[in-house]
Amino acid sequence: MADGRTLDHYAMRVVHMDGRPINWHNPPKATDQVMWTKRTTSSQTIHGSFRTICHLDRLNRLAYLRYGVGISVIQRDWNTGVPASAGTHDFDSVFDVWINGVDPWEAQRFLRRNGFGCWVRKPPLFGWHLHGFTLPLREGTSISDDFEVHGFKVGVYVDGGYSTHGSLVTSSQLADYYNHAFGLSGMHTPGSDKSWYPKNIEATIFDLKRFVEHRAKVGDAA
Amino acid sequence: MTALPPEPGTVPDLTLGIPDVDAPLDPPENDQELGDAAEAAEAADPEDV
Repeated sequence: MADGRTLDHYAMRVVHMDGRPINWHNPPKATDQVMWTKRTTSSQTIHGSFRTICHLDRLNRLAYLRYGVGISVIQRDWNTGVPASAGTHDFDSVFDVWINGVDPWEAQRFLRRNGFGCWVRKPPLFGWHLHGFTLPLREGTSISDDFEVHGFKVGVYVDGGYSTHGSLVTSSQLADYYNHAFGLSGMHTPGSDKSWYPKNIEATIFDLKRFVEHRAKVGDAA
Repeated sequence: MTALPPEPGTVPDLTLGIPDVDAPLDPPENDQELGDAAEAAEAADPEDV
């Protein structure tokens, strides 16, 4: 598991948009915008909803403990500068990531176990990376509206359009993930992705309340 | 309603910052076993970070 590694000197922080530290005893709302002190591999700042950035920070901490290396963010959420990623990265929760030195299939299993709905994207269609998103809390019978009902806005292909168009207007990567499909054009057949998925995907969803309570108890570094 | 952009997967995604990787293009044959074993281990010893 942790191989004896600790987070005593963990340096990344979730902060307010103006750089002020988070008061973990009086935290922002889950949908409030905050920043992460880690930057993308191209030195862009990373921001997003409090829930999303806290989840990213937790994943980073877990990766340090497990692999001795954090998560590299190749493409951030709230990123509108990449035409090929329109409809996915333009709003909250969605990242392209990598864990240096870790086999991408191992990284995919690790991230999926910890509430990051993701897929290995690979040549020849893509350069190597993992594309994914913070799974929203489950609510009701429709999976694809889960971001919208909790107040999060995501790209049209991430939730099929619920949070941007008010209804399902196209394919949904969120639904594809629960259906073990690939989340790519023409690759939405349930069960078509034979790689490992958690037995109970809902059980992997990030618990913001627990994370905040833990931060309030032990601080940012621990 | 405005026209929707191309669905992801119809064009290559961003490659900025992506490392050269020497990895198998498909998941390992024991992907299910590896995932299930790690899932069980973490359930038995959850990491609160």
